[in-house]
Amino acid sequence: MKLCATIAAGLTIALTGTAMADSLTVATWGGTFTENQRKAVFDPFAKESGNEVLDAVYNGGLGQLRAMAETGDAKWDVIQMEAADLVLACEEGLIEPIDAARIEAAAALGDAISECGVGALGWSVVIGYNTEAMKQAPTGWKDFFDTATYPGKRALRRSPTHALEAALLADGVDKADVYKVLSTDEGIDRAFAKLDTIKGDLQWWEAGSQPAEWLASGNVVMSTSYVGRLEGAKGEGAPVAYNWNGSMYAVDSWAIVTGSEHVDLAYDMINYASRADAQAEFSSIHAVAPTNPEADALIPADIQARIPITANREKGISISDKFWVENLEDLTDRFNAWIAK
Amino acid sequence: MSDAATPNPSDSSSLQLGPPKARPGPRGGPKNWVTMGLVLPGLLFFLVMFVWPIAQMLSHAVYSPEVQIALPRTVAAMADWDVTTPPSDAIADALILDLKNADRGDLASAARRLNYEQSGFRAALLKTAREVRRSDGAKGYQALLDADKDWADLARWRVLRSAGSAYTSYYLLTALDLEKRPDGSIGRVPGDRALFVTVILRTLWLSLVVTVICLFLAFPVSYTIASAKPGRQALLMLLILLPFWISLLVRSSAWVILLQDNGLVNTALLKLGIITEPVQLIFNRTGVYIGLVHVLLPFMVLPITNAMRAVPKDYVRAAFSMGASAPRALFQVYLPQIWPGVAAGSLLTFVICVGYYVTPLLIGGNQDQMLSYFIAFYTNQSVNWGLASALSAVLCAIMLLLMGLYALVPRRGGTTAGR
Repeated sequence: MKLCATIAAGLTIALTGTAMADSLTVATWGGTFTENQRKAVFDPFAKESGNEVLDAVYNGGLGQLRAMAETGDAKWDVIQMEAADLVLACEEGLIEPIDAARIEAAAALGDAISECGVGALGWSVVIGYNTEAMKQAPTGWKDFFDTATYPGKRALRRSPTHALEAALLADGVDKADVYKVLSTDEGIDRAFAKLDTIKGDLQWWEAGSQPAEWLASGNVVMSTSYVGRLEGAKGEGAPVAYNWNGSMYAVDSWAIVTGSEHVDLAYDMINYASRADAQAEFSSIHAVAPTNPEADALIPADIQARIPITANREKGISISDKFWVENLEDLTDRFNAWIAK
Repeated sequence: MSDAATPNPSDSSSLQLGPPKARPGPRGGPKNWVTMGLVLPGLLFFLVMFVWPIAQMLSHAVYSPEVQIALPRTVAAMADWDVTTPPSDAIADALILDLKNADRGDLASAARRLNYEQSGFRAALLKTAREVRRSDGAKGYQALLDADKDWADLARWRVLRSAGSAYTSYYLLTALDLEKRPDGSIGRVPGDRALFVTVILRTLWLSLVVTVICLFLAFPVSYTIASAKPGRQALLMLLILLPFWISLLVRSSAWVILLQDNGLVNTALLKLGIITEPVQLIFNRTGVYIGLVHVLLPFMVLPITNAMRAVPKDYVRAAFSMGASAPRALFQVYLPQIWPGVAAGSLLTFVICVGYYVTPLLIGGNQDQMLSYFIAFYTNQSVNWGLASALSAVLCAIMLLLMGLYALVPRRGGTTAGR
């Protein structure tokens, strides 16, 4: 009897759930990132609009979007994408063109609005390390590739992005010339050759939440990681630290998945997320930079020090969207062949 | 597995490869219709749910009409192009018209397809499409050159022409690390891009090692079970079958907990002083062997146990009483009789292992992934279904080859004692 009651209760919830106001599914980067986004953006927006916001984990790439387009079943409505993926998805028609007239903060956002995307936040990926495992702190990419002075496993993202830039920086290429060198076949060979030197000591992360966990548990001694995740781990008392030297900066954008049945609601959510107060709130609990300049004034100075604002960003490079739009697919194939051998 | 009509009990452990042989019976009688009627639903299910989807999937390996769909006029106009002189304005106009009219998704698919064969083609085609859509009056070869100067490169036009056919050998060649050179000959791709031959050989080698380990481990286990008293036999059988009741995912993940650097095995070895620092047991080849042997061992134990049970004890005793040495009794009397079980178990283990996916994924490193990992990767991650199908076709071909070899192996050893 008890079982029947439970099932009945479950069914009622399921049925009323579908009958409720619209629910918007937002694909974003998982773990503490999504948790904080929920606190700063999704939950307040859901409360204000009277709708439900569900989240899904997205780890980059176009695979899931292409599969949704092939099957004609858009499981996600809004997605937070990296710049190169955004352009590729836009060209393939996997995401909807953005009608700038419907973006309330259009004037403030300026260039952050592109053909198919609305700038969501700026992030930096930095070299994080475990403070207990390291006798001295690594200061940049040369140290990351120096397994004699800094022994132990180290992790990079399982993607040619970050890894190839890192290899060239470690090999002595000037910050300003990274993409110039990478645009030549010799430059790409050089980057892979440099990666070869530490291949045996490398571990590869795929989800943004992994590096901070690995660093905290001592599974790896050094890893690239998003600043926001490391700040989160630090806040919980994990023995991790990072250095802005050699950081890589880029902007993620909101996009609307083609075939979404909740386009209006999607615009509402993007508008909410673009508001200066919502962006300031998110930057305060997760170390990312706002795309709405009006948010800057609302962020306290101590927080400014740990988010990717200009002063921090200048110690590293900006990831070139243009280079990766043209080369991402080819280099991903080559990277996969390299990693599997 | 066992068929009442099978005359030989030890045959029950050999794999039934084809349909059972038709029994002689009355032809065309009403009974035959009833049999047909009973078989039909199963047969239809098999065809509709199994043969048809697989054929569909495999057809992607050679059928690739993206360019034809997106650029039909261009493909038609290029049919009589002589491939050595720059294309005429008529061809260029056809391309411009196609680019203006193509559906966004279709054009993107065609651009990806062309980019597989010539890197940079995707960006160039989409850029050209943007340019010609912007200017209404764009006409002729010069308009294309204005949009992207690399249209002067005839190699690009040749790629476009060959991709215009709905059928392609590109995916199958790529699956074997081969490529079609501009002059039409077929050669190996450069070392830094070659991958799949390594993976195929790795898959076969891994499967072979796992099969051999399983065989050696299964032998004593099977013998113990086959020679135990009936009651204990049932209990032992239960222990062998127990793992089947637990999800494969759980069993594979459990190894991660046991074998990781600070896992049970390493901790125990460290405490016992056998090792001074943790041994890498997981996310490498060792871990994959441990995991796969664990998962596949029952498939080896069951057929061998069956075969051993069917061997009357008297035969070996008789061999001894007639003066045979222990090795001779083993090799001349015992092994030939359990041979069908050994062959069936080995084939079963090997074939399942060749197609294994989840265990190496969970407990293997990047250099331990087998062919099915790449099939999944190209299906789900990069959504390159052509290559995924071609790799599946290669895997299928390997399986069929193995089955063929198995069919050639004699079913029983030299002795026909007792028949």
